[in-house]
Amino acid sequence: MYKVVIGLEVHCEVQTNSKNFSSAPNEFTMTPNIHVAPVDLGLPGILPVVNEEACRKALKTAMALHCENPDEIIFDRKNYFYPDLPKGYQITQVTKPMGRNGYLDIKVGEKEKRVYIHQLHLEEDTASLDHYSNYSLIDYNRSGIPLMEIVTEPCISSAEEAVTFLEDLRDVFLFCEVSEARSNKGQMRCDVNISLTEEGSDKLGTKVEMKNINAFNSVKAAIEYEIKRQSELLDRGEKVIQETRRIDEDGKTYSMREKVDAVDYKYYVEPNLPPVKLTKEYLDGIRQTVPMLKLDRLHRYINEFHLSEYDATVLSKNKDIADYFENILLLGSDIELTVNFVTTSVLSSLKKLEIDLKDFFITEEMLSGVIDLVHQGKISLDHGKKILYQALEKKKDPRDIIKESHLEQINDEEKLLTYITEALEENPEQVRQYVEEGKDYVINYFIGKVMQKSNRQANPNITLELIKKELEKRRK
Amino acid sequence: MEKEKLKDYAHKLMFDMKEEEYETLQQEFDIILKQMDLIGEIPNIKEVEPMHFPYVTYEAKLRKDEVIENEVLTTGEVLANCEHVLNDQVKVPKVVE
Repeated sequence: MYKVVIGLEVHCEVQTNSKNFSSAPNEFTMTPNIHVAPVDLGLPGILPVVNEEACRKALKTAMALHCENPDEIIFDRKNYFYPDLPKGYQITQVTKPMGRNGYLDIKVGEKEKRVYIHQLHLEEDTASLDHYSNYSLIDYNRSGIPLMEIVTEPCISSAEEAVTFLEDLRDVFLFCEVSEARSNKGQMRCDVNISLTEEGSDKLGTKVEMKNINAFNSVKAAIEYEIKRQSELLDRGEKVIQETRRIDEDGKTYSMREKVDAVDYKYYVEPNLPPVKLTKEYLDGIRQTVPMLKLDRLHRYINEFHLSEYDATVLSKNKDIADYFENILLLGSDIELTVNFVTTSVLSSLKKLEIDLKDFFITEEMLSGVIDLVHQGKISLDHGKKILYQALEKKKDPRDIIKESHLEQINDEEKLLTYITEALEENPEQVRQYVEEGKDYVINYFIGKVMQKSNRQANPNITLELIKKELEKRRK
Repeated sequence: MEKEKLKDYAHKLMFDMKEEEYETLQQEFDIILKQMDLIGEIPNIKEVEPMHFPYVTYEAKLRKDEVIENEVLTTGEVLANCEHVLNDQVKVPKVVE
Protein backbone atom coordinates (compact mmCIF):
# COMPACT_ATOMS: atom_id res chain seq x y z
CA MET A 1 0.00 0.00 0.00
CA TYR A 2 1.21 3.45 -0.84
CA LYS A 3 0.37 6.82 0.64
CA VAL A 4 -0.96 9.24 -1.99
CA VAL A 5 0.17 12.87 -1.75
CA ILE A 6 -1.60 15.42 -3.93
CA GLY A 7 -1.13 19.17 -4.22
CA LEU A 8 -3.29 21.35 -6.44
CA GLU A 9 -2.66 24.62 -8.25
CA VAL A 10 -5.96 26.16 -9.25
CA HIS A 11 -6.28 29.09 -11.64
CA CYS A 12 -9.46 31.11 -11.64
CA GLU A 13 -10.28 34.15 -13.77
CA VAL A 14 -11.53 37.08 -11.71
CA GLN A 15 -14.77 38.68 -12.84
CA THR A 16 -14.16 42.38 -13.55
CA ASN A 17 -15.19 44.83 -16.23
CA SER A 18 -11.67 45.48 -17.47
CA LYS A 19 -8.40 43.56 -17.54
CA ASN A 20 -5.86 43.42 -14.72
CA PHE A 21 -3.44 46.02 -16.08
CA SER A 22 -5.27 47.61 -19.02
CA SER A 23 -8.70 49.11 -19.72
CA ALA A 24 -9.63 46.49 -22.36
CA PRO A 25 -12.80 44.50 -21.58
CA ASN A 26 -12.62 41.31 -19.55
CA GLU A 27 -15.31 39.49 -21.48
CA PHE A 28 -15.56 36.05 -23.04
CA THR A 29 -16.01 36.13 -26.82
CA MET A 30 -15.45 33.78 -29.74
CA THR A 31 -14.35 36.64 -32.05
CA PRO A 32 -10.57 36.76 -31.84
CA ASN A 33 -8.41 39.79 -31.03
CA ILE A 34 -11.12 42.35 -30.30
CA HIS A 35 -10.50 42.92 -26.56
CA VAL A 36 -6.89 43.97 -26.67
CA ALA A 37 -5.16 47.15 -25.43
CA PRO A 38 -1.52 48.07 -26.12
CA VAL A 39 -0.51 46.97 -22.57
CA ASP A 40 -1.83 43.43 -23.28
CA LEU A 41 0.49 43.21 -26.29
CA GLY A 42 3.50 44.62 -24.46
CA LEU A 43 3.75 47.48 -26.93
CA PRO A 44 6.39 50.03 -25.91
CA GLY A 45 5.61 53.41 -24.42
CA ILE A 46 2.57 52.43 -22.34
CA LEU A 47 2.60 51.33 -18.72
CA PRO A 48 0.31 48.93 -16.88
CA VAL A 49 -1.98 50.26 -14.11
CA VAL A 50 -3.43 47.86 -11.53
CA ASN A 51 -7.19 47.23 -11.49
CA GLU A 52 -8.51 47.96 -7.98
CA GLU A 53 -11.46 45.58 -8.32
CA ALA A 54 -9.21 42.64 -9.24
CA CYS A 55 -7.07 43.30 -6.15
CA ARG A 56 -10.14 43.68 -3.94
CA LYS A 57 -11.61 40.39 -5.16
CA ALA A 58 -8.32 38.51 -4.78
CA LEU A 59 -7.91 39.87 -1.23
CA LYS A 60 -11.53 38.95 -0.44
CA THR A 61 -11.02 35.38 -1.66
CA ALA A 62 -7.80 35.13 0.35
CA MET A 63 -9.72 36.27 3.44
CA ALA A 64 -12.50 33.72 2.79
CA LEU A 65 -9.74 31.07 2.66
CA HIS A 66 -8.48 32.27 6.08
CA CYS A 67 -5.18 33.54 4.63
CA GLU A 68 -2.84 36.16 6.05
CA ASN A 69 -2.95 39.28 3.87
CA PRO A 70 0.06 41.40 2.92
CA ASP A 71 0.62 44.98 4.09
CA GLU A 72 1.16 46.14 0.53
CA ILE A 73 0.47 45.02 -3.02
CA ILE A 74 3.61 44.17 -4.94
CA PHE A 75 3.82 42.46 -8.31
CA ASP A 76 6.74 40.51 -9.73
CA ARG A 77 7.95 39.62 -13.20
CA LYS A 78 8.11 36.00 -14.24
CA ASN A 79 10.36 35.93 -17.28
CA TYR A 80 9.74 33.36 -19.98
CA PHE A 81 9.80 33.30 -23.72
CA TYR A 82 6.59 32.12 -25.37
CA PRO A 83 4.15 33.94 -27.67
CA ASP A 84 1.20 33.63 -25.27
CA LEU A 85 2.67 36.67 -23.47
CA PRO A 86 4.31 38.97 -26.00
CA LYS A 87 6.04 41.10 -23.33
CA GLY A 88 8.34 38.16 -22.60
CA TYR A 89 7.17 38.02 -18.98
CA GLN A 90 4.05 37.54 -16.92
CA ILE A 91 3.13 39.97 -14.17
CA THR A 92 2.47 37.79 -11.13
CA GLN A 93 3.14 37.77 -7.38
CA VAL A 94 5.96 36.04 -5.57
CA THR A 95 7.29 38.53 -3.01
CA LYS A 96 3.97 39.29 -1.30
CA PRO A 97 1.01 37.27 -2.57
CA MET A 98 -2.53 38.39 -1.72
CA GLY A 99 -2.81 35.56 0.79
CA ARG A 100 -0.59 33.04 2.59
CA ASN A 101 -1.05 30.19 5.07
CA GLY A 102 -4.80 29.70 4.75
CA TYR A 103 -7.13 26.73 4.75
CA LEU A 104 -10.47 25.48 3.51
CA ASP A 105 -12.48 22.91 5.46
CA ILE A 106 -14.21 20.36 3.26
CA LYS A 107 -16.54 17.46 3.95
CA VAL A 108 -15.69 14.21 2.22
CA GLY A 109 -18.48 11.71 2.88
CA GLU A 110 -19.00 11.86 6.63
CA LYS A 111 -15.51 13.15 7.43
CA GLU A 112 -14.36 16.75 7.61
CA LYS A 113 -10.89 17.62 6.37
CA ARG A 114 -8.80 20.79 6.44
CA VAL A 115 -7.00 21.51 3.18
CA TYR A 116 -4.14 23.95 3.78
CA ILE A 117 -3.57 26.78 1.32
CA HIS A 118 0.05 27.66 0.71
CA GLN A 119 -0.77 30.91 -1.08
CA LEU A 120 -3.18 32.84 -3.27
CA HIS A 121 -1.72 35.30 -5.75
CA LEU A 122 -3.01 37.58 -8.47
CA GLU A 123 -1.54 37.53 -11.95
CA GLU A 124 -2.52 37.98 -15.58
CA ASP A 125 -3.89 35.30 -17.86
CA THR A 126 -2.07 34.52 -21.09
CA ALA A 127 -3.28 34.61 -24.70
CA SER A 128 -4.93 31.43 -25.94
CA LEU A 129 -3.18 29.33 -28.54
CA ASP A 130 -4.87 26.87 -30.87
CA HIS A 131 -2.52 24.27 -32.30
CA TYR A 132 -2.92 22.89 -35.81
CA SER A 133 -0.83 20.38 -37.78
CA ASN A 134 2.22 22.59 -38.31
CA TYR A 135 1.27 26.02 -37.03
CA SER A 136 -0.47 27.69 -34.06
CA LEU A 137 -2.90 30.60 -33.97
CA ILE A 138 -2.91 33.20 -31.19
CA ASP A 139 -5.87 35.12 -29.87
CA TYR A 140 -4.88 37.88 -27.41
CA ASN A 141 -8.38 38.46 -25.96
CA ARG A 142 -7.49 36.45 -22.85
CA SER A 143 -4.09 38.09 -22.41
CA GLY A 144 -4.13 40.26 -19.29
CA ILE A 145 -7.39 39.00 -17.75
CA PRO A 146 -7.00 38.97 -13.94
CA LEU A 147 -6.25 35.47 -12.75
CA MET A 148 -6.01 34.13 -9.21
CA GLU A 149 -3.81 31.15 -8.51
CA ILE A 150 -4.47 29.13 -5.39
CA VAL A 151 -1.73 26.72 -4.38
CA THR A 152 -2.52 24.05 -1.78
CA GLU A 153 -0.04 22.31 0.45
CA PRO A 154 0.57 18.68 -0.55
CA CYS A 155 -2.06 17.48 1.93
CA ILE A 156 -4.74 15.89 -0.27
CA SER A 157 -4.77 12.13 -0.26
CA SER A 158 -7.36 10.89 -2.76
CA ALA A 159 -9.16 11.74 -5.99
CA GLU A 160 -12.39 12.17 -4.01
CA GLU A 161 -10.76 14.71 -1.66
CA ALA A 162 -9.27 16.60 -4.61
CA VAL A 163 -12.60 16.85 -6.43
CA THR A 164 -14.49 17.83 -3.25
CA PHE A 165 -11.89 20.53 -2.60
CA LEU A 166 -12.25 21.85 -6.17
CA GLU A 167 -16.05 21.87 -5.92
CA ASP A 168 -15.92 23.66 -2.58
CA LEU A 169 -13.30 26.11 -3.83
CA ARG A 170 -15.58 26.87 -6.77
CA ASP A 171 -18.34 27.55 -4.21
CA VAL A 172 -15.97 29.96 -2.42
CA PHE A 173 -15.54 31.87 -5.70
CA LEU A 174 -19.31 31.90 -6.21
CA PHE A 175 -20.15 32.73 -2.57
CA CYS A 176 -17.64 35.61 -2.67
CA GLU A 177 -18.95 36.69 -6.10
CA VAL A 178 -15.43 37.00 -7.48
CA SER A 179 -15.79 34.74 -10.50
CA GLU A 180 -18.32 32.73 -12.45
CA ALA A 181 -15.72 29.94 -12.26
CA ARG A 182 -17.08 28.11 -15.30
CA SER A 183 -14.69 25.40 -16.36
CA ASN A 184 -16.34 25.10 -19.82
CA LYS A 185 -15.23 28.70 -20.49
CA GLY A 186 -11.75 27.93 -19.16
CA GLN A 187 -12.36 30.27 -16.21
CA MET A 188 -11.26 27.62 -13.72
CA ARG A 189 -8.33 25.32 -14.51
CA CYS A 190 -6.25 23.04 -12.40
CA ASP A 191 -2.74 21.58 -12.25
CA VAL A 192 -2.36 18.40 -10.22
CA ASN A 193 0.88 17.31 -8.55
CA ILE A 194 0.82 13.73 -7.36
CA SER A 195 3.34 11.40 -5.78
CA LEU A 196 3.17 8.02 -4.08
CA THR A 197 5.26 7.05 -1.11
CA GLU A 198 5.59 3.93 1.05
CA GLU A 199 3.00 3.90 3.85
CA GLY A 200 4.67 5.13 7.04
CA SER A 201 7.56 6.83 5.24
CA ASP A 202 8.05 10.55 5.74
CA LYS A 203 9.95 10.94 2.45
CA LEU A 204 7.96 12.34 -0.45
CA GLY A 205 7.85 10.25 -3.62
CA THR A 206 8.73 11.48 -7.11
CA LYS A 207 6.31 14.18 -8.20
CA VAL A 208 4.37 13.90 -11.43
CA GLU A 209 2.64 17.02 -12.69
CA MET A 210 -0.54 17.16 -14.77
CA LYS A 211 -1.31 20.56 -16.24
CA ASN A 212 -4.37 22.55 -17.26
CA ILE A 213 -7.23 20.18 -16.52
CA ASN A 214 -10.58 21.92 -16.95
CA ALA A 215 -13.28 19.48 -15.88
CA PHE A 216 -13.51 18.13 -12.32
CA ASN A 217 -14.28 14.61 -13.55
CA SER A 218 -11.07 14.73 -15.61
CA VAL A 219 -9.15 15.61 -12.42
CA LYS A 220 -10.70 12.55 -10.77
CA ALA A 221 -9.90 10.30 -13.75
CA ALA A 222 -6.32 11.62 -14.01
CA ILE A 223 -5.61 11.07 -10.31
CA GLU A 224 -7.13 7.58 -10.27
CA TYR A 225 -5.18 6.62 -13.36
CA GLU A 226 -1.91 7.99 -11.93
CA ILE A 227 -2.39 6.19 -8.59
CA LYS A 228 -2.83 2.92 -10.48
CA ARG A 229 0.06 3.58 -12.91
CA GLN A 230 2.54 4.67 -10.22
CA SER A 231 1.53 1.84 -7.84
CA GLU A 232 2.16 -0.72 -10.58
CA LEU A 233 5.57 0.82 -11.36
CA LEU A 234 6.59 0.79 -7.68
CA ASP A 235 5.24 -2.79 -7.23
CA ARG A 236 7.55 -3.89 -10.04
CA GLY A 237 10.44 -2.13 -8.31
CA GLU A 238 10.68 0.48 -11.05
CA LYS A 239 11.12 4.20 -10.55
CA VAL A 240 8.56 6.91 -11.17
CA ILE A 241 10.02 9.55 -13.49
CA GLN A 242 9.65 13.22 -12.61
CA GLU A 243 7.68 14.51 -15.54
CA THR A 244 4.70 16.47 -16.81
CA ARG A 245 1.81 14.41 -18.15
CA ARG A 246 -1.43 15.28 -19.87
CA ILE A 247 -4.78 13.56 -19.64
CA ASP A 248 -6.49 12.37 -22.80
CA GLU A 249 -10.17 11.81 -23.51
CA ASP A 250 -9.74 8.09 -22.74
CA GLY A 251 -9.05 9.01 -19.09
CA LYS A 252 -5.41 7.88 -19.37
CA THR A 253 -2.41 10.14 -18.80
CA TYR A 254 0.44 10.44 -21.29
CA SER A 255 3.96 11.78 -20.85
CA MET A 256 4.49 15.28 -22.26
CA ARG A 257 8.02 16.06 -21.12
CA GLU A 258 10.52 14.97 -18.53
CA LYS A 259 11.50 17.57 -15.98
CA VAL A 260 15.28 17.70 -16.22
CA ASP A 261 15.98 21.09 -14.79
CA ALA A 262 13.70 23.43 -12.88
CA VAL A 263 12.96 26.41 -15.15
CA ASP A 264 14.54 29.58 -13.84
CA TYR A 265 12.02 32.35 -14.33
CA LYS A 266 14.36 35.03 -12.96
CA TYR A 267 11.68 36.61 -10.85
CA TYR A 268 12.13 40.19 -9.77
CA VAL A 269 9.89 42.98 -8.50
CA GLU A 270 7.88 44.52 -11.37
CA PRO A 271 9.45 47.97 -11.80
CA ASN A 272 6.48 49.40 -13.74
CA LEU A 273 4.08 48.96 -10.83
CA PRO A 274 4.95 50.84 -7.65
CA PRO A 275 3.96 49.00 -4.44
CA VAL A 276 0.65 50.06 -2.97
CA LYS A 277 0.33 50.27 0.82
CA LEU A 278 -2.80 48.64 2.19
CA THR A 279 -4.31 50.44 5.14
CA LYS A 280 -6.05 48.58 7.95
CA GLU A 281 -9.29 50.41 7.10
CA TYR A 282 -9.11 49.25 3.50
CA LEU A 283 -8.55 45.60 4.48
CA ASP A 284 -11.25 45.78 7.18
CA GLY A 285 -13.68 47.16 4.59
CA ILE A 286 -13.06 44.13 2.37
CA ARG A 287 -13.22 41.73 5.33
CA GLN A 288 -16.75 42.93 6.09
CA THR A 289 -17.89 41.75 2.66
CA VAL A 290 -16.61 38.18 3.09
CA PRO A 291 -19.67 35.93 3.24
CA MET A 292 -20.17 32.89 5.42
CA LEU A 293 -19.03 29.81 3.47
CA LYS A 294 -20.97 26.64 2.72
CA LEU A 295 -19.66 24.46 5.54
CA ASP A 296 -20.00 27.26 8.12
CA ARG A 297 -23.61 27.77 7.04
CA LEU A 298 -24.25 24.03 7.24
CA HIS A 299 -22.96 23.99 10.84
CA ARG A 300 -25.04 27.08 11.69
CA TYR A 301 -28.23 25.60 10.25
CA ILE A 302 -27.76 22.38 12.20
CA ASN A 303 -26.54 23.86 15.49
CA GLU A 304 -28.42 27.17 15.68
CA PHE A 305 -31.55 26.52 13.63
CA HIS A 306 -31.77 22.81 14.57
CA LEU A 307 -32.41 21.72 10.98
CA SER A 308 -31.94 18.14 9.87
CA GLU A 309 -28.60 17.43 8.19
CA TYR A 310 -30.49 16.81 4.94
CA ASP A 311 -32.33 20.16 4.97
CA ALA A 312 -29.20 22.02 6.12
CA THR A 313 -27.20 20.50 3.24
CA VAL A 314 -29.84 21.36 0.65
CA LEU A 315 -30.13 24.95 1.89
CA SER A 316 -26.41 25.67 2.28
CA LYS A 317 -25.31 24.18 -1.03
CA ASN A 318 -25.97 27.26 -3.13
CA LYS A 319 -25.23 30.80 -1.96
CA ASP A 320 -28.30 32.35 -3.57
CA ILE A 321 -30.60 29.75 -2.00
CA ALA A 322 -28.89 30.11 1.37
CA ASP A 323 -29.18 33.92 1.23
CA TYR A 324 -32.84 33.67 0.16
CA PHE A 325 -33.60 31.33 3.06
CA GLU A 326 -31.76 33.51 5.59
CA ASN A 327 -33.40 36.70 4.31
CA ILE A 328 -36.86 35.19 4.87
CA LEU A 329 -35.86 34.32 8.42
CA LEU A 330 -34.59 37.87 8.90
CA LEU A 331 -38.09 39.05 7.98
CA GLY A 332 -39.27 37.13 11.01
CA SER A 333 -40.91 34.11 9.37
CA ASP A 334 -41.25 30.76 11.09
CA ILE A 335 -38.14 28.57 10.53
CA GLU A 336 -39.92 25.25 10.05
CA LEU A 337 -42.36 26.65 7.48
CA THR A 338 -39.59 28.55 5.69
CA VAL A 339 -37.52 25.37 5.38
CA ASN A 340 -40.60 23.56 4.09
CA PHE A 341 -41.43 26.20 1.46
CA VAL A 342 -37.86 26.75 0.25
CA THR A 343 -36.79 23.10 0.08
CA THR A 344 -39.98 21.99 -1.67
CA SER A 345 -41.94 24.67 -3.56
CA VAL A 346 -39.05 27.04 -4.35
CA LEU A 347 -36.47 24.44 -5.35
CA SER A 348 -38.94 22.35 -7.38
CA SER A 349 -40.16 25.48 -9.20
CA LEU A 350 -36.60 26.51 -10.05
CA LYS A 351 -35.94 23.03 -11.38
CA LYS A 352 -39.16 22.90 -13.34
CA LEU A 353 -38.69 26.36 -14.84
CA GLU A 354 -34.96 25.69 -15.39
CA ILE A 355 -34.01 29.08 -13.97
CA ASP A 356 -31.64 30.46 -11.33
CA LEU A 357 -32.91 32.13 -8.20
CA LYS A 358 -31.97 35.55 -9.54
CA ASP A 359 -34.67 35.08 -12.23
CA PHE A 360 -37.23 33.78 -9.73
CA PHE A 361 -40.34 35.99 -9.52
CA ILE A 362 -41.20 35.35 -5.87
CA THR A 363 -39.14 37.67 -3.68
CA GLU A 364 -38.24 36.98 -0.06
CA GLU A 365 -40.87 39.52 1.07
CA MET A 366 -43.59 37.83 -1.00
CA LEU A 367 -42.79 34.35 0.27
CA SER A 368 -42.43 35.60 3.82
CA GLY A 369 -45.93 37.11 3.54
CA VAL A 370 -47.41 33.76 2.48
CA ILE A 371 -45.50 31.85 5.17
CA ASP A 372 -46.74 34.26 7.84
CA LEU A 373 -50.37 33.75 6.78
CA VAL A 374 -49.88 29.97 7.03
CA HIS A 375 -48.22 30.39 10.41
CA GLN A 376 -51.10 32.55 11.69
CA GLY A 377 -53.54 29.85 10.54
CA LYS A 378 -55.19 32.18 8.06
CA ILE A 379 -54.48 29.86 5.13
CA SER A 380 -53.50 26.21 5.10
CA LEU A 381 -50.02 25.00 4.10
CA ASP A 382 -51.53 23.29 1.10
CA HIS A 383 -53.24 26.48 0.06
CA GLY A 384 -50.12 28.54 0.59
CA LYS A 385 -48.22 26.32 -1.83
CA LYS A 386 -50.99 26.44 -4.41
CA ILE A 387 -51.04 30.22 -4.22
CA LEU A 388 -47.30 30.30 -4.73
CA TYR A 389 -47.59 28.28 -7.94
CA GLN A 390 -50.42 30.54 -9.14
CA ALA A 391 -48.32 33.62 -8.37
CA LEU A 392 -45.45 32.18 -10.41
CA GLU A 393 -47.74 31.40 -13.29
CA LYS A 394 -49.46 34.79 -13.29
CA LYS A 395 -46.31 36.71 -12.23
CA LYS A 396 -48.37 38.30 -9.49
CA ASP A 397 -47.64 39.00 -5.83
CA PRO A 398 -49.08 35.98 -3.95
CA ARG A 399 -50.33 38.29 -1.18
CA ASP A 400 -52.51 40.10 -3.74
CA ILE A 401 -53.86 36.77 -5.02
CA ILE A 402 -54.90 35.86 -1.48
CA LYS A 403 -56.63 39.22 -0.98
CA GLU A 404 -58.37 39.22 -4.35
CA SER A 405 -59.70 35.68 -4.20
CA HIS A 406 -60.67 35.94 -0.53
CA LEU A 407 -58.66 32.82 0.07
CA GLU A 408 -57.97 33.49 3.69
CA GLN A 409 -58.78 30.50 5.80
CA ILE A 410 -62.18 30.43 7.55
CA ASN A 411 -61.68 30.16 11.30
CA ASP A 412 -65.06 31.50 12.30
CA GLU A 413 -66.79 28.61 14.10
CA GLU A 414 -70.29 29.89 13.42
CA LYS A 415 -69.66 30.00 9.70
CA LEU A 416 -68.03 26.57 9.77
CA LEU A 417 -71.00 25.15 11.69
CA THR A 418 -73.35 26.27 8.91
CA TYR A 419 -71.33 24.20 6.41
CA ILE A 420 -71.12 21.25 8.83
CA THR A 421 -74.84 21.22 9.63
CA GLU A 422 -75.65 21.33 5.92
CA ALA A 423 -73.28 18.46 5.20
CA LEU A 424 -74.70 16.31 8.01
CA GLU A 425 -78.28 16.93 6.94
CA GLU A 426 -77.52 16.08 3.34
CA ASN A 427 -75.84 12.78 4.24
CA PRO A 428 -77.96 10.96 6.87
CA GLU A 429 -76.58 7.52 5.92
CA GLN A 430 -73.02 8.52 6.85
CA VAL A 431 -74.29 10.07 10.10
CA ARG A 432 -76.05 6.76 10.92
CA GLN A 433 -72.83 4.79 10.21
CA TYR A 434 -70.97 6.92 12.78
CA VAL A 435 -73.72 7.00 15.40
CA GLU A 436 -74.88 3.36 15.19
CA GLU A 437 -71.86 1.49 13.85
CA GLY A 438 -69.06 3.66 15.28
CA LYS A 439 -67.36 4.11 11.92
CA ASP A 440 -64.90 6.96 12.64
CA TYR A 441 -63.70 7.30 9.07
CA VAL A 442 -66.88 9.12 8.06
CA ILE A 443 -65.33 12.15 9.81
CA ASN A 444 -62.93 12.49 6.84
CA TYR A 445 -65.86 12.19 4.49
CA PHE A 446 -67.50 15.18 6.18
CA ILE A 447 -64.26 17.20 6.21
CA GLY A 448 -64.18 16.72 2.44
CA LYS A 449 -67.78 17.91 2.15
CA VAL A 450 -67.11 21.02 4.26
CA MET A 451 -63.99 21.77 2.17
CA GLN A 452 -66.09 21.60 -0.98
CA LYS A 453 -68.74 23.89 0.44
CA SER A 454 -66.20 26.41 1.74
CA ASN A 455 -64.18 26.51 -1.47
CA ARG A 456 -61.33 24.80 0.47
CA GLN A 457 -61.09 27.74 2.86
CA ALA A 458 -62.26 25.97 6.01
CA ASN A 459 -59.57 25.64 8.65
CA PRO A 460 -59.12 21.84 8.68
CA ASN A 461 -58.20 21.57 12.37
CA ILE A 462 -61.17 23.57 13.65
CA THR A 463 -63.48 21.79 11.17
CA LEU A 464 -62.33 18.39 12.43
CA GLU A 465 -63.07 19.28 16.06
CA LEU A 466 -66.48 20.75 15.21
CA ILE A 467 -67.51 17.73 13.10
CA LYS A 468 -66.57 15.40 15.94
CA LYS A 469 -68.65 17.45 18.39
CA GLU A 470 -71.68 17.59 16.07
CA LEU A 471 -71.59 13.84 15.38
CA GLU A 472 -71.28 13.08 19.09
CA LYS A 473 -74.33 15.24 19.77
CA ARG A 474 -76.33 13.05 17.37
CA ARG A 475 -75.19 9.88 19.12
CA LYS A 476 -76.95 10.90 22.33
CA MET B 1 32.69 32.92 -13.41
CA GLU B 2 33.36 29.73 -15.40
CA LYS B 3 32.72 29.81 -19.13
CA GLU B 4 30.54 26.68 -18.92
CA LYS B 5 28.19 28.44 -16.50
CA LEU B 6 27.91 31.40 -18.85
CA LYS B 7 27.17 29.06 -21.75
CA ASP B 8 24.48 27.35 -19.72
CA TYR B 9 22.85 30.72 -18.88
CA ALA B 10 23.10 31.84 -22.50
CA HIS B 11 21.43 28.60 -23.56
CA LYS B 12 18.62 29.09 -21.06
CA LEU B 13 18.10 32.65 -22.29
CA MET B 14 18.07 31.31 -25.86
CA PHE B 15 21.08 32.99 -27.38
CA ASP B 16 24.65 32.08 -28.23
CA MET B 17 27.89 34.05 -28.51
CA LYS B 18 31.33 33.78 -30.07
CA GLU B 19 34.15 32.39 -27.92
CA GLU B 20 35.85 35.82 -27.62
CA GLU B 21 32.55 37.34 -26.51
CA TYR B 22 32.41 34.82 -23.70
CA GLU B 23 35.91 35.85 -22.67
CA THR B 24 34.91 39.54 -22.58
CA LEU B 25 31.83 38.65 -20.60
CA GLN B 26 33.92 36.58 -18.19
CA GLN B 27 36.17 39.61 -17.54
CA GLU B 28 33.11 41.82 -17.02
CA PHE B 29 31.68 39.31 -14.59
CA ASP B 30 34.88 39.33 -12.56
CA ILE B 31 34.41 43.09 -12.06
CA ILE B 32 30.71 42.71 -11.27
CA LEU B 33 31.36 39.96 -8.72
CA LYS B 34 34.06 42.06 -7.04
CA GLN B 35 31.55 44.89 -6.70
CA MET B 36 29.08 42.44 -5.20
CA ASP B 37 31.72 41.42 -2.67
CA LEU B 38 32.17 45.07 -1.76
CA ILE B 39 28.44 45.38 -1.07
CA GLY B 40 28.61 42.19 0.94
CA GLU B 41 31.15 43.82 3.27
CA ILE B 42 28.58 46.37 4.47
CA PRO B 43 27.58 45.30 8.02
CA ASN B 44 24.11 43.72 8.54
CA ILE B 45 23.39 43.92 4.83
CA LYS B 46 21.08 40.88 5.06
CA GLU B 47 18.82 42.76 7.46
CA VAL B 48 18.26 45.61 5.01
CA GLU B 49 15.11 45.31 2.91
CA PRO B 50 15.68 45.92 -0.78
CA MET B 51 14.34 49.28 -1.88
CA HIS B 52 12.60 48.91 -5.21
CA PHE B 53 10.86 52.27 -5.20
CA PRO B 54 11.70 55.59 -3.59
CA TYR B 55 8.22 56.55 -2.38
CA VAL B 56 5.07 54.98 -0.92
CA THR B 57 1.69 54.94 -2.69
CA TYR B 58 -1.71 54.05 -1.28
CA GLU B 59 -4.69 52.14 -2.66
CA ALA B 60 -6.25 55.34 -3.93
CA LYS B 61 -3.73 55.06 -6.75
CA LEU B 62 -5.26 51.84 -8.06
CA ARG B 63 -7.21 52.01 -11.33
CA LYS B 64 -11.01 52.11 -11.35
CA ASP B 65 -12.44 49.00 -13.00
CA GLU B 66 -13.68 50.63 -16.19
CA VAL B 67 -13.41 49.75 -19.85
CA ILE B 68 -12.03 52.66 -21.86
CA GLU B 69 -13.16 52.01 -25.40
CA ASN B 70 -10.68 54.30 -27.11
CA GLU B 71 -7.79 52.41 -25.48
CA VAL B 72 -8.93 49.17 -27.12
CA LEU B 73 -7.20 48.37 -30.39
CA THR B 74 -9.01 47.29 -33.55
CA THR B 75 -8.25 43.79 -34.78
CA GLY B 76 -6.34 45.40 -37.64
CA GLU B 77 -4.15 47.32 -35.18
CA VAL B 78 -3.56 44.20 -33.08
CA LEU B 79 -2.33 42.31 -36.13
CA ALA B 80 -0.49 45.24 -37.80
CA ASN B 81 3.00 44.08 -36.79
CA CYS B 82 2.49 40.42 -37.63
CA GLU B 83 4.19 38.72 -40.49
CA HIS B 84 1.62 35.92 -40.75
CA VAL B 85 -2.08 36.24 -40.02
CA LEU B 86 -4.88 33.69 -40.42
CA ASN B 87 -8.57 34.11 -39.46
CA ASP B 88 -7.84 37.36 -37.58
CA GLN B 89 -5.27 35.56 -35.45
CA VAL B 90 -1.49 35.64 -35.27
CA LYS B 91 0.01 32.65 -37.07
CA VAL B 92 3.23 31.26 -35.56
CA PRO B 93 5.22 28.05 -36.08
CA LYS B 94 3.99 25.24 -33.87
CA VAL B 95 6.41 24.65 -31.01
CA VAL B 96 4.51 22.04 -28.99
CA GLU B 97 4.22 18.38 -29.85
